[in-house]
Amino acid sequence: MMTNMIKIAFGLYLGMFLAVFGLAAQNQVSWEASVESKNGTVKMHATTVRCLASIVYTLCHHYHLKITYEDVPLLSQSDLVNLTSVSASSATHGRQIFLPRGGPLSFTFELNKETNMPEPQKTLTDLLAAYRSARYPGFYKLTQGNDVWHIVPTQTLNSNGQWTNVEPVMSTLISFPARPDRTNKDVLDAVLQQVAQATGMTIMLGSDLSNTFLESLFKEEVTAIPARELLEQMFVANGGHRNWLLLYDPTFRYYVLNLF
Amino acid sequence: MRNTFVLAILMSIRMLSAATPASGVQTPVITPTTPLPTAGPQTLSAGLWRVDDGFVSTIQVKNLLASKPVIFTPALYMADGTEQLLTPIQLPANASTVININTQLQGFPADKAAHISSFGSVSILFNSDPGALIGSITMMNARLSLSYTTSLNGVMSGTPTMQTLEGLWWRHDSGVGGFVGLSNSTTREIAVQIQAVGSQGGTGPVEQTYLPPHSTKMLDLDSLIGSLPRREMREGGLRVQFDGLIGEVNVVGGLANINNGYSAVMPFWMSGMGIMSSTASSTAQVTLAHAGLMTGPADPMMGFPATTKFTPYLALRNTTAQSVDIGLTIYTDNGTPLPATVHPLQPFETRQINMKEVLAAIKLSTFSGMINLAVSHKGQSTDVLQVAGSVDETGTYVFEVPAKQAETSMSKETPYWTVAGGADTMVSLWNPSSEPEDLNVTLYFSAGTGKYVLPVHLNAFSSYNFNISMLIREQKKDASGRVIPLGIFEGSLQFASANSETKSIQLVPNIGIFNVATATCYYGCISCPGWFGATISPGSLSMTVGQSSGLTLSSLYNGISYIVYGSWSGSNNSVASISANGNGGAQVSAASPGTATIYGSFSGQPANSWFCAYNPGCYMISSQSFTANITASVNCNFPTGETSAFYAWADQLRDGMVNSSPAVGEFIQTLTPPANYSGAAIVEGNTSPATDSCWFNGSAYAPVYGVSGGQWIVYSSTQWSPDKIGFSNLAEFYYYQTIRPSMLLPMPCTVTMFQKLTFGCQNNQTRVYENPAVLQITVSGTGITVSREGVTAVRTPLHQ
Repeated sequence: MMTNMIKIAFGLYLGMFLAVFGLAAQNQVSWEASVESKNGTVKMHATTVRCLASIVYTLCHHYHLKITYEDVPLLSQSDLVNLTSVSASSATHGRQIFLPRGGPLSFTFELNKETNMPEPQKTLTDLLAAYRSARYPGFYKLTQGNDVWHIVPTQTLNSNGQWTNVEPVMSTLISFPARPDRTNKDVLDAVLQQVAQATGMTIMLGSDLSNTFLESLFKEEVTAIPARELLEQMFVANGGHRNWLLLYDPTFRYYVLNLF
Repeated sequence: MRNTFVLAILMSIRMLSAATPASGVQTPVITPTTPLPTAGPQTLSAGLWRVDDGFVSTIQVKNLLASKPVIFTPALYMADGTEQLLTPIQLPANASTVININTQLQGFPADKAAHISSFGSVSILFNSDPGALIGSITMMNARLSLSYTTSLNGVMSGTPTMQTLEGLWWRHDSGVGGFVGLSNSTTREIAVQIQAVGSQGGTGPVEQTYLPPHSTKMLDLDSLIGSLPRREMREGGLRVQFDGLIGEVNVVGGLANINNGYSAVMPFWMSGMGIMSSTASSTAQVTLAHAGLMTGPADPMMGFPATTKFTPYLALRNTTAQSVDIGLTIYTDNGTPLPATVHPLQPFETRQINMKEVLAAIKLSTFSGMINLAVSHKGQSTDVLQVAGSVDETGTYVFEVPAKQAETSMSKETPYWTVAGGADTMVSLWNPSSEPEDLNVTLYFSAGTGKYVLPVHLNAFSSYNFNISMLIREQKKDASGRVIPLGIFEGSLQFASANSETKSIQLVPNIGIFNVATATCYYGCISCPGWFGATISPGSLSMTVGQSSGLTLSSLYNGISYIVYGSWSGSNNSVASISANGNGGAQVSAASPGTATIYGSFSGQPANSWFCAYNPGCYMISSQSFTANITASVNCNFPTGETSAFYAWADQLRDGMVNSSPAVGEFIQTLTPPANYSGAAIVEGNTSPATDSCWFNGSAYAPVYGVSGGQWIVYSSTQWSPDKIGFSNLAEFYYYQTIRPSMLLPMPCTVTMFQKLTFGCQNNQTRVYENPAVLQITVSGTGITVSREGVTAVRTPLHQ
């Protein structure tokens, strides 16, 4: 039974994997969504399983929109693809390998005729609606910061498959005293540490910023500022806004902060 | 040689009501702030030409510039100031020419014929470097055996003030009379006062005459001195004053006894002139010398009648209100000094020295040959006017030997020598110093196409005399194998150090141009060139930090650029520091980016045309400072290349990074070429997007899009670091190392970044490094490989 179940499971998941993550397909998948523009109408098409993040990245890249994005935590098996059975046994070290359950997503929006740019609020609202229509994992909402749009998670399926509210990790309130020699790297470390303490969620840095961040200081005292706002302040003070994608990895169950 | 000689009668003289006391003479002082002459339109003027009663006047002009021709236009002015411009003449480099005024007057246009006079003045107009031309005028009367010379002078810039010229007249015999020519070289009327001074300082009335523009007046000496006490009428002085600038009124005086053909030039010196250097003082000892006085029977080679015997003469005039001690030393050719006694000159006294008695006292009564006179006094060189020469017993042959200051100078020039028409040129050179001199006497041919160099060695206080006709006859080759062609009759002369024309010499020369057949003799004007302008080479500097560059300062002398010994300074030593290189040049070191002005200066005698008249010395003004400046731009020393070396893994450095970053390799770069680039900033960017074969669909780590954008400050002259390459979060490495094999994705995988480096500079200049670096991170199943510009470091195993 077990064997059969395993085989069934193997067959089921292998079929899904090959359909979505086949080796041939891997080579063809692009992180950035494709972009077709005609008469002010733009169609973006993402092919990665992290289709929402891909389109957000592409919007930032193409139109210089200021957006941050935070994944929902992927806790339910129904939101995951388990690759454990198909993976090379020696490489997994006994760990189950999961990927988000995602797929292609097409999204169309209009450019402002005068600026030839997207209207951020409407575009992102429509994007979230399109994502939701595709029934990929989680619910998101759009919030606005200072000149920055934040896509934050609101609901996800828990491990029991029930919808549950999500408290975004980047909403964690951060505090630390003033320190004249505090670098931006220190700020980043403090954010990651305090988020971990407050939420139990680890955030890994997905970008090597040591060359940049070690040179700049952030001396001010911080009192109960949401992590995303603090980071935005720090980036602006350090030369300009940075977008980020906070992506959840279901295998290791941590977030990866991808700054760009 | 005897005939009547009619002086033109002066007309506009009027008597002033009161005589001006001699002690009230104002003395002009030419300060070191006198503006330096500049290139451009120049005018030289000469006080007098005469064509009356057999006089033939010629203008001799020499182009001192060795590098370029000069075009000049002679302008003849009649006595009433009427101007006639002559045909412009182009003088090639080093060339000289002679213009016959009598001939030019014959071609005068009809509308000006009524203005033609028997005397007048002349100017030459040219546009070139200051001091480019020198010249003189000779007035020869072969029938009367009379000859005079005067020089072409410029107008010295400065503030107009009362100018005083002190003259000296003396009667060789009772039949000697004289004239004084006053000419106005300007376009405005000038009032001129003239006053006779007797041998004991007694004065006549101050007479005033007005000179219309460019006009000339001739005054009769006897009339001028007629009111002096009879006992003071054997010798004396004339004081000429006018309000203006030196050279605006030219004064030429001549003495003559038309019965025996005696003639001599009356000197007029600027009062208070002479030594104007910083060492000048009223107590300075000044020596004025006369080189080459013929003594005893004439040299048979010179063609004089067999019985001709010469006796030196010397006359002195004290122009000051103080008694002046006079030192007289006679030097023979071999430099033997023979001190003689001369009683002090009383205030304003003029005295003819009885040279027969002087020679007898020093046992030279029977001496036959050349002697040199050195006359010393304390004060300024023009305080004591003096004339000397040799005259035969009949008074017919007069060899004037004008006073020249025994001084240090650069080269000396004379515009004219001739051997034409039975004339000859005698050159006398006396070394007034206790050190030997090695000289080059250069005879330029009139067309400027050739020259002959005669080396002359002069021992201390010794002298050397030669006739140019003899040089020509000898056809002896000079060091360059040249001779003076037999067809060459005229030219000019330069006396210079054997090392260079700009090297210092001490030399008292005399040029006597004589014609035994006509019993005429006149001396050549001696001019001293000077410096013109200053130039720093190179004319600008564009340097990079750490570079150094040499500078030289040069100036033009006779149109040739010479490197001079400069003093150097700069406006901003923090940008460009200047140090003297010990050879007169400077070494500029680029210290930091920016601009600085670098100044080079030297002190020297400025070029002008002022040396032949009014002053026995070479220089009428003090040395002046010549300054040039250039801009030095110091730019960053942008490297052209770099070499990378792996330094360490970040965790081994314990630099405090998260997880100590064991998957980050640190590279250290050495910039090339090895120059000081310390403190400059380097900023990284991307030349093109990175490629990332580690990323896979579904990865929580977004693809690497490029380098993070670091900034470094170059330290240790040429090194910068660390350039960190790898995954700062070991989890990322491990993620790929784990997940990719799990997904049967190929390993190893590689992230390749294309780093653009922008080199900065303290002055905000930037330059993009032309050889972008390729950075790679390769994740294998067992470890990580990082590489920068082909330099690779492998770390394996690398497991969490």
